[in-house]
Amino acid sequence: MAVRAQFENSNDIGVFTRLTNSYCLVAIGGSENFYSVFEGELGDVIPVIHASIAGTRIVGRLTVGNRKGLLVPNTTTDQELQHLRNSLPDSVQIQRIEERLSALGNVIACNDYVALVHPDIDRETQEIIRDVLGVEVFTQTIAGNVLVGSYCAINNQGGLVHPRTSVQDQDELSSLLQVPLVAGTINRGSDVIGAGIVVNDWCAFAGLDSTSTEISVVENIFKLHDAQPTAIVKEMRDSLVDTYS
Amino acid sequence: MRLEKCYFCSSTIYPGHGTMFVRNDSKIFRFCRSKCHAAFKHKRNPRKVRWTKAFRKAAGKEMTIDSTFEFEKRRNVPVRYDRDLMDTTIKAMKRISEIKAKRERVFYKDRMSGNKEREKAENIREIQKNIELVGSSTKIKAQVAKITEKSQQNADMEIS
Amino acid sequence: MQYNPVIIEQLILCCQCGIAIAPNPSNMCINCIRNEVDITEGIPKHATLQYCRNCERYLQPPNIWVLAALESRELLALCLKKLKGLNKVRLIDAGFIWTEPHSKRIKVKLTIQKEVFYLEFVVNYQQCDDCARIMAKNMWQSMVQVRQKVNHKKTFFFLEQLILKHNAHKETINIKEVKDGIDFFYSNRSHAIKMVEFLGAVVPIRTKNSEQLISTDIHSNTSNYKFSYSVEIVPVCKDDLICLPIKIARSLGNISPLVICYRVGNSIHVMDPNTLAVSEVATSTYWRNPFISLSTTKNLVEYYILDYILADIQVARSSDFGKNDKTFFARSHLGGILNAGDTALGYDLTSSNFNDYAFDTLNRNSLPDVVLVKKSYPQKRRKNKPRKWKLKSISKEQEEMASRKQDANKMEEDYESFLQDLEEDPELRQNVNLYKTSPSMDIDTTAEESTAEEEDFPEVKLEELLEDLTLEDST
Repeated sequence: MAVRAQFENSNDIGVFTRLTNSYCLVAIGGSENFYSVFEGELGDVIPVIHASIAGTRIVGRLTVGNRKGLLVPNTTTDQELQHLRNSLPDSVQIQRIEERLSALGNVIACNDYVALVHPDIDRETQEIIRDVLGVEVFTQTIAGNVLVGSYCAINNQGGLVHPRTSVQDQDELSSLLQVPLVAGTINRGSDVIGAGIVVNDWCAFAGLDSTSTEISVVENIFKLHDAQPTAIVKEMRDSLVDTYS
Repeated sequence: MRLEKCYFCSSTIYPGHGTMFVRNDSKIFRFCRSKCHAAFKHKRNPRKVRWTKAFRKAAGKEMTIDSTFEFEKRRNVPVRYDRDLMDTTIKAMKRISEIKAKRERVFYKDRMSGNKEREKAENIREIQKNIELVGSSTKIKAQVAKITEKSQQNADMEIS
Repeated sequence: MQYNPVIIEQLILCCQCGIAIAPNPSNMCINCIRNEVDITEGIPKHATLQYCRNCERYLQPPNIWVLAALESRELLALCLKKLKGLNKVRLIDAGFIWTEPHSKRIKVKLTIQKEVFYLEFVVNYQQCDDCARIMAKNMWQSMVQVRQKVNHKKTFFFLEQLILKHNAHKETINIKEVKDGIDFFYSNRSHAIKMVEFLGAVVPIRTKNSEQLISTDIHSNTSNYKFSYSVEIVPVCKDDLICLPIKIARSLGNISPLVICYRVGNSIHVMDPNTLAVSEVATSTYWRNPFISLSTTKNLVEYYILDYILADIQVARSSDFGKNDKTFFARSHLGGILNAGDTALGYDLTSSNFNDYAFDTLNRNSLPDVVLVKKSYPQKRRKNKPRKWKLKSISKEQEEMASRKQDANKMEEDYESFLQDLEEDPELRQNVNLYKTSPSMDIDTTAEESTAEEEDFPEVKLEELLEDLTLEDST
């Protein structure tokens, strides 16, 4: 399901939210209306954690994570780090990164298997990403933009990229990520995909301005039509059966 | 709140104290007071300035290698809260500081041992060098000769 | 083998309608953009018009006031000019929507590329400059006071014509006639200075300026002044008898001191009637050492020419005929045009008593008895004969005191004398615009004119006259 939401009159909910398959971070101090949108969709499956990073609410842009882990920037305080640790499931690793580019959500885009990173990111940080998130790391740009996290949104079934991404680039990225990609927009023509939408394997939240066309593109490419958390589990079990057989 | 260390003198900075300088490569420098900040602005090297912790460590005046230092560190991987763990941690903190104090005492003792003998030998050498300044008093001369002879003997004994 | 990259055009879906399009900054298809964007956005929907209630004109910025009726083309043009963003769009049609005139609202319907929208103009009252000038009489900032200390006004009649000819009174807001001269009022100092310069170019003058502080602002260091320019015209007129101070006479090529002023232009032109020597007294020379006329045209006496040999003329006073046989000899520059039996005007030196220091120093015995100045036409000059030409005049405000009857008579006399001068002096006429009178007025004169006609009677030729272009006011 793709749902529309708005954070304090802003359509860029991706700035204030980080959604993965095993947890969801939302900024503290928002309206109950905003939280209930998330809790209504996710509440009984994964934890919705109210958090701040370095005292700010732009948790979506400062953090990056997937089912296996969460990375936070070095500006995160000890209290915030402790709060995240206490709120997240034990299966999720959490680590603070000493990296010059502290808006990790802007410079890293990942799903549960692959991460695309900004070309200037440290080698050590790449190592940490590989270890903590359990992904393959590729240094990439999207439509000439180094901020890969801002200009795309990916899950394990598909990805939405900046509208100006050329077909060649899309093919290349698609072969790295092993998922189909589509160029598109969100929030009635905005090309900052990462800020406009948060997505995991069965659910997506887009800005309130997004048109039905955009929502239908999102639902198609991320394969959200009949996706339910239970269906995912079933699918995974099937694949497990396949691997062990 | 976190207690930070001063970049220059390594003293503890409590919340609400000191200043912070963030360089344009995003590296953070914290200073406990304007003295340290001014020294930093003069581009002084804390290892060359005698009153800093960095100098003392570099000059071997304080413990540098010790397992107790391992506890006082910024950790990037948090641990889930556990009441028992917290309990033992607080107990351990006391014990660790005790151990640390003890080790420091020992270190100081080691560093100072043999100072008395070194000082005495130094004095004798100085008197021998400048014997003419003592004057014509035969009594004093005799005393001096006696002491030198004694120390000479000691030296010989040590050698043999 | 050459590498040919296959460029596949990459398409996205229009965010509104889902049509596949090439990405653009708004990521919408052209139709959706057209629906989204308001092309009338940059055009203001409200504006104000300035309207002068007194003269019923509208202000066309910056400072032109135009007459425009309600719902007229002019008013529509004015309204559309008020709209700033109109040059960026394509205007198809514009028209008025009827409103009550007293509502002080004007509504305009505009069509821009199929989009129709309505504008409202508010009419505000604002007095135009012309009306303000009429309403507030004392709004002058600078004044030019022209004075000539003589007992007639001929110079000012001439000056009036000069000003008319050169249109020098264009910027004048008010003209006032006062004793011994005229005052010109201006709203701007530079206009007054221009007027003074004009006067300096046509007549010999001396100027003095003074200023009166009206208000001052110490914060911005600006002050408001009223400026007065006092212009004094040389009190010497044409045909005056002058006794030059010895010093000046010497400096003018040792001319005889007793001279006639035969012309006043930029400077004073003098002539010795005995020797026909001419000279010129520059304005600056005059004011350094001023003198006054010995005798003016008022004192001219009519003489009858008895006989003449070249320049030596025997004359008798016209008034003496039948009383005595006193005759005088005069040497005159008029020898060429006078015949026996003619009359001429001249100054009688034998019976006059002058109060002039320079004159007293002259040798009495060497003085002529009579100084002839000009030929006169007493018979030909019939009273009340209408002229075939006329002059224009500037509307002047009279000083209250000057409305006495004898003053008015004197003024008429002066004017008549000025007109005669014009007739007699073609050189003077050159500087003046003469206009034809309307034909109806001289019907009765044509019959008489054929009866007595003298050859050299000075008359204004028809070629010199201009058609009068004054617009007949129908009201």
